[in-house]
Amino acid sequence: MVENRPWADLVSHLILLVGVVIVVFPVYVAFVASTSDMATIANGQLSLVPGPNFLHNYAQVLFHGTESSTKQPMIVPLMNSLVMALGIAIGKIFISLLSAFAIIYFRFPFRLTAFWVIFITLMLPVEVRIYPTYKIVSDLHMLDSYAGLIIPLIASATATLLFRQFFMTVPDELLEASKIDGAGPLKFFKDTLLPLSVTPIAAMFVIQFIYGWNQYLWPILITTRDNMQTIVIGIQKILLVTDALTEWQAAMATTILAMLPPVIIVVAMQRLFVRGLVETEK
Amino acid sequence: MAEVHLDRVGKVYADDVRAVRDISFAVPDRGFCVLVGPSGCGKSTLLRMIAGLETISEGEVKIGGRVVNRVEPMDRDIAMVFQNYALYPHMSVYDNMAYGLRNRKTPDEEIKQRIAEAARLLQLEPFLSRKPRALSGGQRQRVAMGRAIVRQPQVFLFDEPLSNLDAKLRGQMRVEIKALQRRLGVTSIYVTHDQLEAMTLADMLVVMNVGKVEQIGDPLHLYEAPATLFVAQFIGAPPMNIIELAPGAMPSGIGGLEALPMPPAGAHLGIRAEHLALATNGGVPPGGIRLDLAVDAVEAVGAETYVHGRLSGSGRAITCREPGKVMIPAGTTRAFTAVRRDLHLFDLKTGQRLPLA
Amino acid sequence: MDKRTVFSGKLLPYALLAPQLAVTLVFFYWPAGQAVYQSFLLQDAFGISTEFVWFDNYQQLFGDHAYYQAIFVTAVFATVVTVAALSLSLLLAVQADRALTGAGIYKTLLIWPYAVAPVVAGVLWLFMFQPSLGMLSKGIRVLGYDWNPSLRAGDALILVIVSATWKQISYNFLLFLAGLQSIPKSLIEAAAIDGASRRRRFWTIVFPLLSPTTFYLLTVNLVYVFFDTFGIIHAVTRGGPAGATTTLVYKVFNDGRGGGDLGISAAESVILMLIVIALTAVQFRFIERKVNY
Repeated sequence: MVENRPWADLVSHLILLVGVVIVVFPVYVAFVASTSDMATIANGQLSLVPGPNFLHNYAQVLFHGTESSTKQPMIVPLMNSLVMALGIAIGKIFISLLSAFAIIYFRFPFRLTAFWVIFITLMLPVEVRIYPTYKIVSDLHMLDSYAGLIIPLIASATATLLFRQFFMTVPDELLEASKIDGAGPLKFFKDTLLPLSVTPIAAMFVIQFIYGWNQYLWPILITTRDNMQTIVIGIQKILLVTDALTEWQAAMATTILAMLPPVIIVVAMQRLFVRGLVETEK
Repeated sequence: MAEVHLDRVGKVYADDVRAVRDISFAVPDRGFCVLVGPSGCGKSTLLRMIAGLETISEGEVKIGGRVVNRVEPMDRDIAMVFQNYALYPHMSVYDNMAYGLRNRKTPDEEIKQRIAEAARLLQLEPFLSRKPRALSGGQRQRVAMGRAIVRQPQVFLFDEPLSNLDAKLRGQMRVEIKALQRRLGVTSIYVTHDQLEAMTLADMLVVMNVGKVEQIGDPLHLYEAPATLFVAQFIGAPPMNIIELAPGAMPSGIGGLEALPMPPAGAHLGIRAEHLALATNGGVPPGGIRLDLAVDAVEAVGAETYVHGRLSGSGRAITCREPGKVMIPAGTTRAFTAVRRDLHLFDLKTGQRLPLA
Repeated sequence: MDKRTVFSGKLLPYALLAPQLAVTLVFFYWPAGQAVYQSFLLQDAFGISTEFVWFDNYQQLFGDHAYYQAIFVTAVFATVVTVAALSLSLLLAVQADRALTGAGIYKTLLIWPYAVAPVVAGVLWLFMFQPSLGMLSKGIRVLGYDWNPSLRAGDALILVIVSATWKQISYNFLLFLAGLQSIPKSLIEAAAIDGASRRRRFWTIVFPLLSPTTFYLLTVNLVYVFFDTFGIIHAVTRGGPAGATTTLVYKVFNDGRGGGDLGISAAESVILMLIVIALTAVQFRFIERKVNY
């Protein structure tokens, strides 16, 4: 537009910059803290520049655990988080692909019922039914296990919804051509539908990985052994210690570690994942 | 006086891509000027510069005698009809038309009156309370025009408004738009890629190609005396037959070339389909030419017949138009002739028109 | 919802659906049903005998001051966070939508917090606002205010609200930006020619056309505040001081743990379920009506 107002541009830049600062500042502070030593922090003398203890602090947190709390080397919870996040992402995508395929591409009695049964779960996250779910997991002897961490959380329908939306946009002609070419449903699924679905699958993967990695309430409930904890819980354990003795630098280092993998994935696959988020809105 | 004056107008984008180069012409008050050309020729860019939706890199645009280069679109006293109508989907037809007037604090009474008049002109009265999504393409197009009309601007700008309509509706709307413009007497600038629309709507036709003006003038004048090869081939359907005559590579199958004032470097010979007539005898008309064609296909569309063939020998494709019904079996050879005054010669390199006197 | 051509299969579709249906039935419907059932029960202190008490649990809840406090806290929390997060992100999205140089970089820089867990967000802000050594609390002290979230209810609430809002800005920003970019440019141009100033264009054209996105985000944000903020509360304030930051979800968690009254906790769960269902139903209704352009 001809409206040539360089001022307006300047103001926009300013606003965006302020936004970025607000968004980045807490993390930056955390990083600075994670590279400083406990005394500096406790004295309230944290500077705005990273400290010298990067290697030392991180190595300690990862491999030795903190003195005052659980003495759990964080490398284990990191692995647990990884397994949980991957398990949830892969598990959810797998069963959702199958379900979306069944509902869209077949006609069978109770098709609509199955549809609604699955989609109602969209409305109620796990937090609403924690204790009964806990009891079931406990009865099935799945406490303190990967299965217990993963399986109950793949029940919701977000991925199924996305795949359904996507399948709706796949042209009917492709299926008709496939049929004429003699392909049965599974062959169609494997040879045609799946390759077409790479983008939504990748987008869903990112979203579900983050969802799984960031789970808090559920892992707290069902894991008791320190070595089954996820990294996100690890932070909280460090903070459990009373104020005066809290090893903030360790807590911050753990926090940074807990943030790193999801953030890296989001930034690396930004375009894909943004598309996935926007698609689920519709 | 709502004259639109362009003086050496040009547009360059940030990455040095040039869209429009050195355009100068003037649209008289109450005139209907059509900008026509293939995709990417810069016609839409030019229109948007006149509207104020694109900045003007070079030159000056004057509306009603006033230089508007730095003037905001809303202050240029123009109205625009967009290709996809750009109707506000969340407002009724009435509110769509009232929006511009309300922004200018026009009193409600006057708004009501202007809309009633426009609605009558465009037969929109039954639709005033509907939302755009409840209207057909043609109706939406009329609303877009209604929105422009109630503003009573100095200039109307049209950006390919009929492209999204089916052929029949397009034909209808063409006639309506022309009549409307005549009646309202508002200076109009209209962009299209369809040469038929251009020919029928324009008082003043501007043919553009790769950012430059090829020719400006009365549509029929451009048809009968195209200034460049491009205009010759762009205006008129089917496109003018062009035969390349390069020295030493003269196509066979043509008689009468020796009599033409050919420049030594060669030329393009142009002849329109309707000027090629089935030969009645075996000779070449004095000063004219004779083409021997191997007939490939014959299309009889009722009022006329199109004969598609190739020059015997050189294989150059030629189309001829004969009035009425003509029966010619495919695969046979027929001769067609044309007289001197229907021929066109264009410079082989520059495409400029050459005199045939 | 219907494809023109389909496969006819007798067993295959059921087999394909089986995994998801199984997981859903075992881990969703069964527990949800259990929650409803348990809400009508009263367990004795040892968990040995249970008694069916109809709506006693619910009555007890609605007579409990702490429950009303949780409702109040949740409501305040929900309103403030939603309004703050939506306004801030809309502001940022509008700026990012203008074709500025570096828009892509801003976008990346503003999106990544989506990957941050709510609990992590809470810890980050907790650190900055820590009464004795937090960077920001120093600044507040300088202004003369005795900042202490572990003692003052207001401070604790502010801390939790700030963390929750901070974390949610990215997602809202992303969706608002997508919504803005889906508005055809020609509409804005037509409005400009129609004499609308930038501000008027925004409020009369852009904002109304953004309403589907806005409604959607409203629901998402409310659900977020209701549930996802559990992590923040648990790690940062433990629901305190004295229940000042205990939301309904946190109360469900607290009331049920360590052999507490499962019946009450179940009743609270059921009420939560009903609230969310109502919210979602309202959203569907609204979206249905307003959206089809």
